[in-house]
Amino acid sequence: MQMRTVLLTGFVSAALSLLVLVVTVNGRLLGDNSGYKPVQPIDYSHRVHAGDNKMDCQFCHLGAEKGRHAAIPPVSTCLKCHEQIKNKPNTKEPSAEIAKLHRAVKDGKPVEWVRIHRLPSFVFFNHSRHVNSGVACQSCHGEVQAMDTVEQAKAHTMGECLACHREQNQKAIASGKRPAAPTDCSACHY
Amino acid sequence: MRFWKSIHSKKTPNQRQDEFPEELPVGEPKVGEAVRHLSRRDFFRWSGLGFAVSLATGCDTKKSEKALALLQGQEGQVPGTDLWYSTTCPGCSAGCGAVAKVRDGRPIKLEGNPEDSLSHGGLCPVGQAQVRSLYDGGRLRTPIMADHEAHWADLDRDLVSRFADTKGGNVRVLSGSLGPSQRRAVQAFLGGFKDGKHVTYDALSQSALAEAYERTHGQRLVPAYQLAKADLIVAVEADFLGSWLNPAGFGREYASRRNADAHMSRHIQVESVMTLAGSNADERIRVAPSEAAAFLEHLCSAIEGGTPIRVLDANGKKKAHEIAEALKEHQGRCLVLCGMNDVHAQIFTARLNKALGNEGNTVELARPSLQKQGDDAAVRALIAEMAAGQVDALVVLGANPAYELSAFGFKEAYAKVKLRVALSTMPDETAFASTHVAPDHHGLEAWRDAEPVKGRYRVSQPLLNPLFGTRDASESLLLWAGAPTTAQAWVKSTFALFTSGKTVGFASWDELLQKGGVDLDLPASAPIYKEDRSRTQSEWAALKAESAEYELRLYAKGGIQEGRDAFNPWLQELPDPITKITWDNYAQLSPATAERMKLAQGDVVRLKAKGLADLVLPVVIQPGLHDKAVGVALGYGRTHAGKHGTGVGGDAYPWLGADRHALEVSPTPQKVELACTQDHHNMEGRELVREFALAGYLKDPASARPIDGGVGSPVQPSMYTPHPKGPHHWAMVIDLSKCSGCSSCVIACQAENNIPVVGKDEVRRKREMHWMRIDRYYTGNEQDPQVVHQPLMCQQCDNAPCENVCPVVATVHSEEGLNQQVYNRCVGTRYCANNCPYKTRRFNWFNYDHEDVVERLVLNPDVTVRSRGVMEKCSFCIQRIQLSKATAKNEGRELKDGELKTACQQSCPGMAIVFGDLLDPNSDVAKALSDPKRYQVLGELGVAPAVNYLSKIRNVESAAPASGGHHA
Repeated sequence: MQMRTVLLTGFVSAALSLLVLVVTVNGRLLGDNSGYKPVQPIDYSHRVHAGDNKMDCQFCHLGAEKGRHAAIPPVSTCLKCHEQIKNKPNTKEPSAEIAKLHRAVKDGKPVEWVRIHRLPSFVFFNHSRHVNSGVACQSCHGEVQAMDTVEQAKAHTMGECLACHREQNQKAIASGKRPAAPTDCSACHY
Repeated sequence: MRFWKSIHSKKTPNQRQDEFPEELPVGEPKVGEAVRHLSRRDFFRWSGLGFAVSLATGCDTKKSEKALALLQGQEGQVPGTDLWYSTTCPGCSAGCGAVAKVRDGRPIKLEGNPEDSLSHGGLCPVGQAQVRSLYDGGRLRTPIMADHEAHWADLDRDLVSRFADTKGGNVRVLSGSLGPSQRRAVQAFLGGFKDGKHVTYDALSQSALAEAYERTHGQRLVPAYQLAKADLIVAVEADFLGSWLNPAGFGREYASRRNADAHMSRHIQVESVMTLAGSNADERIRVAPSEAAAFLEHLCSAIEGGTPIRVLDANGKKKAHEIAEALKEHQGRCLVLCGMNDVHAQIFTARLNKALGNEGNTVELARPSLQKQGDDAAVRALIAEMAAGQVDALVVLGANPAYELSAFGFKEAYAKVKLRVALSTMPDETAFASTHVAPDHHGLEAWRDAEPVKGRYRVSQPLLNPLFGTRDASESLLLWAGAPTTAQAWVKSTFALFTSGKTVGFASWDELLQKGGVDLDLPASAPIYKEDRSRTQSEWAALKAESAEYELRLYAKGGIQEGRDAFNPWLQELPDPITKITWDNYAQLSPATAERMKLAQGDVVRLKAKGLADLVLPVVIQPGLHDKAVGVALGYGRTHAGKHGTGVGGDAYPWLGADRHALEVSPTPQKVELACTQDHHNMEGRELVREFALAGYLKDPASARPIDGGVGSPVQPSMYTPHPKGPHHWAMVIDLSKCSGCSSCVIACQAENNIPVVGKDEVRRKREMHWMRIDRYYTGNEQDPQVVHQPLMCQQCDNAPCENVCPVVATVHSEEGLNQQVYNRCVGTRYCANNCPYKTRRFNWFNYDHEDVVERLVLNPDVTVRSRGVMEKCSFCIQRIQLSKATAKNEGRELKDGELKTACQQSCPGMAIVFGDLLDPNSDVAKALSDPKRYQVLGELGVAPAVNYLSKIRNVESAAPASGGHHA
């Protein structure tokens, strides 16, 4: 065998064993990021907004019913309210976190949020189809309205997607309707 | 065997080609001729780093990734959704109306605007490729002064003072054909000088056409031809479907009359090389390049009377008389086209159209085309002036004369001009020869307008902020003229001037932008025929008949055209519609000539002519070429065309000019392998294209029904259980009578589906990645064959042979009849490709280059970028299917037929492709399936393809040479 082949084989087997180690140590599938709860640049609380103040998710994530991405709202959306509300909740003390929004606008630098939910690039998930079919945000994202710091509540694996789609189709068939949740590969992969 | 694909396949019909003749390649792909090596040391370096990184990060799958949202949201913009803006295609002077798909602030797809009254929704390959040109990483990014990058302020200061010094001198602007706003800007600029003049030229000049009308009708103009009104089209050396004037618009009009069931038009092509238009003709007559004008003279004489001065051979005379008789039968409903830049040929054509009563019917003179405004005489005068040192400053706008006008001696004369300013988008030959370069926006970044036909005003709006430090050419000119304004305001004021005192039909500027243009019904009168016949006659008689053993015929390819987009790798890798060769130009010879000279395909020859540097090119043996003709494409051999276009092919521009027909062809010992996509698609003599004569078809349409494998054929029992059926079944019908082979669909598919460019070397290894190809078949004898074009993509078989050989179930059937390719499952065994009877699957031999941060902006985010080791193929634009279904469901309605179009279907100027849901009995595709001409390629295999074809119908009397339906 050539030197290169030996080295390549060694390298590949090392990488494979590492992979096996990762899967078994974590005890979960690759791509399952549930429990991921990074520190965000602004200590923003979904509990305060969506929980206490009962704001609709789509007030900010307006892409959710219109397009593929729910999307992190632009700072201008935050400022719809926070142009006025600048203090910490129920105090007269200015909030350092809200001030970060104003600074972002002043500096012309977008806020560098840490992304939590991520699908591989060969998966195409369309938020609008799910939201418009009445799937609650919480079905995939958990009880976000109760989270001070957002974490990934559920695994976004293909198994999870298919389990739900199959369940919906079973329900549809049981009630005499046409099953409408696709399970074809090309529903998500293209 | 009746149909054949190349000389090679005709001579060795049963030779099979191994699709994968080589071992798995290791390394990097070579795109263009650039090679990157990975040394052993680098391999260790990178693998060590990779191992360390995987150790460091492998245990934690929660990699931190930033997500940046906008600071200021925009009204109506939802991330990940498309916004469509109307604009005008910046590809050429045809000014086709277009709509651009803008995703998150960047245009990623250009499509024809169906509401445009000129292009009617088609777009040519050059138009489709404009998005790639926009994102070219090699574009000019900053101004250049004295060979160094400069700041705009410095450049402006320097130029303003230099122009001030030449106020009393001679200042010239040399440009291609421009839109109204840019013309106005040039006038405004030149107004500041004592002697300022604007000279226009076209690289693919039709100056003689305009000059002919000046001499016959007293007005310099290019007529607007109405192909849809013509029952009989006679085109002489005019490739109106590939490169002449307005191919997309002509393509739509032409195809609208190629319907066998509704008063089909007849098309006769008289030409020396095989052009795209010629390949579609019902009858094709070969003439030598020097005989074409004489042929027109003979037509004239046969119709108007009189004795022709030039002599034609017996066959030519006979054909001229036959055509003349046919033309007389179609007075007022026929059309004679001539693409030669030869004033006498054009005068004969103008006379013919006059005598046949076509003026005002198929030849519109009152509202002429404004596409080709170039004036060769003015260009010659300008260059003489420059050479004599009489020009103080020359500004070049939107053109590349240093390359395109080499036959006129532009470059040498240019060096004698003291102040040379280029307003270019690319660092091209002219930019390199200039003292000052003021980089211009790409057409998709700019406010522009166009008036391709008198009274039809088209506007372009910028689709994104300029990517680089460029400035609009109009803004530059106006700034230097001391009247700075924005390009937007300038275009707006042009529109106001254009419409002042006229009824526009709608209210606002915004509405104009939304529509992309407006057609004004300008009062106009056609010029009257008043030719000085004796002058023409004496001039024509004085011209010597210049027949020679070999005669050069320069032509333009539908993709590369005049060569301005030579840096665009999509267009370089687009197979020529006729020769199927990529990344090259070559000397075309007829089979008889090649045999006589003992030359084979790929042998390098030297073309010689007095006073010209030799042109060294490989030989391509082209059936249908006249035996005297040597066909060479323009637009190649560029010295400054970026990393993809530089040095590709040989430069034929120095040979341009009607007086240089005769040449000498001498063989050299060299031989090259051309990057051809042809022979490996050999179909082994089976009946894949079907062709019938119109007369026979009209007598008995049922005669076109296929014998087996099509409608009415018995369904073969299957050993498999049928696939479960969903709410849709997608299918396609392609009408071979309407497909001209223009290859617009190939580039549209490339843009839509992130198809990589593989480079010349990889095409040679038959590893091109195009999901759709256009097969070209010849019928008849190889000296004078007829041609059929057949677009072929994945046939989405219901019993797909690829599916049951995949060991990892990476290609599976969907309940909507699609043959799905799942990239993330594919492990690259290539069994599927080996088992595909259509050879439409493509394998990623490499990770193709998407690394350039600018160039990757063209990628469609709705389609996965495939990586090495993965199989791919046409998906019926599944991303478009999914989006349309989602939109309809979100709106709570059923999907409407026609609302969903695949990229190839949308781009097709001929509307040859129909796509839709088979389960909807009222859909166009379901109706097309009951057409008696319908058949399936290799239907006899029982694979049940979802793509169907309608047999080609040629408008000929007798069944010969194409008897249709049966093997010889």
